[in-house]
Amino acid sequence: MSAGLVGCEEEQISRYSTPKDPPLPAWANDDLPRLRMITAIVQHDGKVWFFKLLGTDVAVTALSEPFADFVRSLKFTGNEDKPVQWTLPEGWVDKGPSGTRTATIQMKGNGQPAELTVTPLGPEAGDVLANVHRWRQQLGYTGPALAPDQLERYVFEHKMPFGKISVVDLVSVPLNLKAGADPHAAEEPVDERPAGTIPKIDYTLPEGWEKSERPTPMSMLTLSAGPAEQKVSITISPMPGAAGGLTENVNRWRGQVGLKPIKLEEILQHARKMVVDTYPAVYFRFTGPERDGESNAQAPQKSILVVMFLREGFTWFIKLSGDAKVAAAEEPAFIRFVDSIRFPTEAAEGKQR
Amino acid sequence: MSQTLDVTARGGRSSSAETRGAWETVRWLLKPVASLKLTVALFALCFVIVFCGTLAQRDHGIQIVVRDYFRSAFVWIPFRHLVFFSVPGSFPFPGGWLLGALLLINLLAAHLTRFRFTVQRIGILLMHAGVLLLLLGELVTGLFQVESRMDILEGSSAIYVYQPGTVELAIVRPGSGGQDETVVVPGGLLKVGERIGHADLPFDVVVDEYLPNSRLVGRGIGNSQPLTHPQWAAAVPEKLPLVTGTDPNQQIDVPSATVTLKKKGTEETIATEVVSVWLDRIMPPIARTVTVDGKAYEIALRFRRNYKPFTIHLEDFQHEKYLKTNIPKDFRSEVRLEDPSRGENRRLAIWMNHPLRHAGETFYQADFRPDNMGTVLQVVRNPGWLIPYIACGLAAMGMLVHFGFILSRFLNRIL
Repeated sequence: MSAGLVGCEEEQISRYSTPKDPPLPAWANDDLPRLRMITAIVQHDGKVWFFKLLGTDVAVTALSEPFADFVRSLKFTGNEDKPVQWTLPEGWVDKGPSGTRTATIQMKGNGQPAELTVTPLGPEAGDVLANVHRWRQQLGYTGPALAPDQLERYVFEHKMPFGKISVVDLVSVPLNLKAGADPHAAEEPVDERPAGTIPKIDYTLPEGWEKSERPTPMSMLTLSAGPAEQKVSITISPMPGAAGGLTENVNRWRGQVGLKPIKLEEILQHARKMVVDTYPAVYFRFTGPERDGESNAQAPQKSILVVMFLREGFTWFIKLSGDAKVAAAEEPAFIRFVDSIRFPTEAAEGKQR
Repeated sequence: MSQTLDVTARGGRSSSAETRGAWETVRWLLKPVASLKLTVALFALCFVIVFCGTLAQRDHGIQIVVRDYFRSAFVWIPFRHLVFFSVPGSFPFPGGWLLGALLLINLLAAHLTRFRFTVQRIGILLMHAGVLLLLLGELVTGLFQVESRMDILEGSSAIYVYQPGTVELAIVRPGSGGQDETVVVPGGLLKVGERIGHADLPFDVVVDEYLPNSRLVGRGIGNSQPLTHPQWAAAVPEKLPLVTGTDPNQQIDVPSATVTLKKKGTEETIATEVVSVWLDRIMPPIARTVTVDGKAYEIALRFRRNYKPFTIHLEDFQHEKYLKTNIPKDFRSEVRLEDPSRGENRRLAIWMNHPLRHAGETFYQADFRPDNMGTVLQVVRNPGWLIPYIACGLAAMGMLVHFGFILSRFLNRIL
């Protein structure tokens, strides 16, 4: 290879032919969705204020300039009833306080929804390193704990009329592909989002489907379908942050139906892309082997159908599992059900209240 | 006949005497060079250079320190390294190669002038041969070793290695038939304000700004790290201080530059582009594209590449940690090596202390790409890699023989 000779002619311009770079694996081409989180941290009057903008990378990138305007508009009044005031950019909607939050503001960036939360916490919450580490884990990073001198990669200080703010800007790994390698990440506090703030969803129940009498733990909704003896279970489970990642989850589901684990490349070949409401999603269908051995004569063949997508800091799983034949019969209904899911707009949610 | 013989014998004695005389002269000349005091003085200077070279890593990266202090004839050592407070100025000092060469000469001269070959001295000779070989081995390593890296994403292949710390500006004309035409401008030619023109370049290049170490920052209020792909493309370079040898993260300098491309021989500007090694290291890499005379070219600042006639495909990468910690326990790359030129196509594993040796190069498991998405192998080509092993073997054998003789003498005395 003529290129190999380049090293001998250090300071001369040289020309050579090279083979084209081999193609990158599908997952490296960055067409899978990521989450982006920009948090402005303000320490004021003994409190630590978190202004956290969260949404898909596309949405938050489009919203970063309006968010800067929002932060510049902050005014700390010293008034206990309304300690902080701001000017909302056009199209941003303040949905008021909930739980520990002072406000939840919703908006769209590049057509995709995002959310800004305002949360005041005590001075003990002001450890930026601990916060960044925890947020990175939520966004799917499993590397070693950050050292203090690594913070400058993620934290930027800005001067504002009311004082200094720290801005933490983080992007999740794509669909949290390799996350979940560290089982102890789950021992960390998962989110300061108070329980009960998982958004309500609208959906159309397919004919013959009914709400299950025995809800599955961790699921916001458990349904069942099919004949009485062979009912399949359908669950909707929003999990905060990384939620174990793609590889770990897929191989766990495969294990549940009796299939062997597979590599990421192969997983991606099984993934079918779809859209839930406005969110890009992936759809997997795995059917276990037929049980023809004597010891397994009684065990039915199992299937699992899963739709997985990211929305505002949560990984959502919509899953149908059970007998393979019933699952195959219910698959069209499952797809219709997933297609019918909507995250209510402000007006619709107002009605529910 | 006997007379003739006599003459020959006398002539032989005379020639032998002359040789002895010349040899005595050489020994006399070599005597100061062979001095043991000189050996001690050279060792003392070696201590100083190692000490100062270690301290120099506060200011410079390890590659620069090795080059300036240990692989040089002379080095200018700042006074403040020795007095521990801020004193301006520096003083010249013999570099590692000069000291090594003097030690080599000292050792050889000592053997020529003092040492006599006897069976009892075999051990000493072997030990000294080991030391000699060790010094020569370092010379071979310093002159010929090339250290590179190879990044491979899981499920992908690599066909080239790159040399961190050595930069080039590549202008690539994507071609058909699986081949690209590449023109590379070595980093040493990238000087701010200078115009680079060459028959092989489709345009002239003017370097507007060159940052030897940098990071790219996104626009907007945040500067997310890592940047997302669209942010990388629009990011702006920011100067960073040069990496030093005391950096706990052992990072490397990552240069960025702003270049203006001008039509050959004219002042007409084609484009001004930000190029950065960062943009070449992300996946997928971002190259700036310009069109000149209807032909598209990609421009990238990158670490110098060296293409290989073989392919390494990463099938799986495992990164294990100690239980309940984030401390790495093991990195392991399961790869497939395909080398048509040697008829090789095999699967193998590379992990810590288990490198792959292939085509004169050694591939060590060195690091992993962010988020465990791929492996980083250190690739070392060192024609002298065996020399230290042989040298240490010789020295060990020498010690064994030497102390064996001493032991046997001792035992003979007491038994």
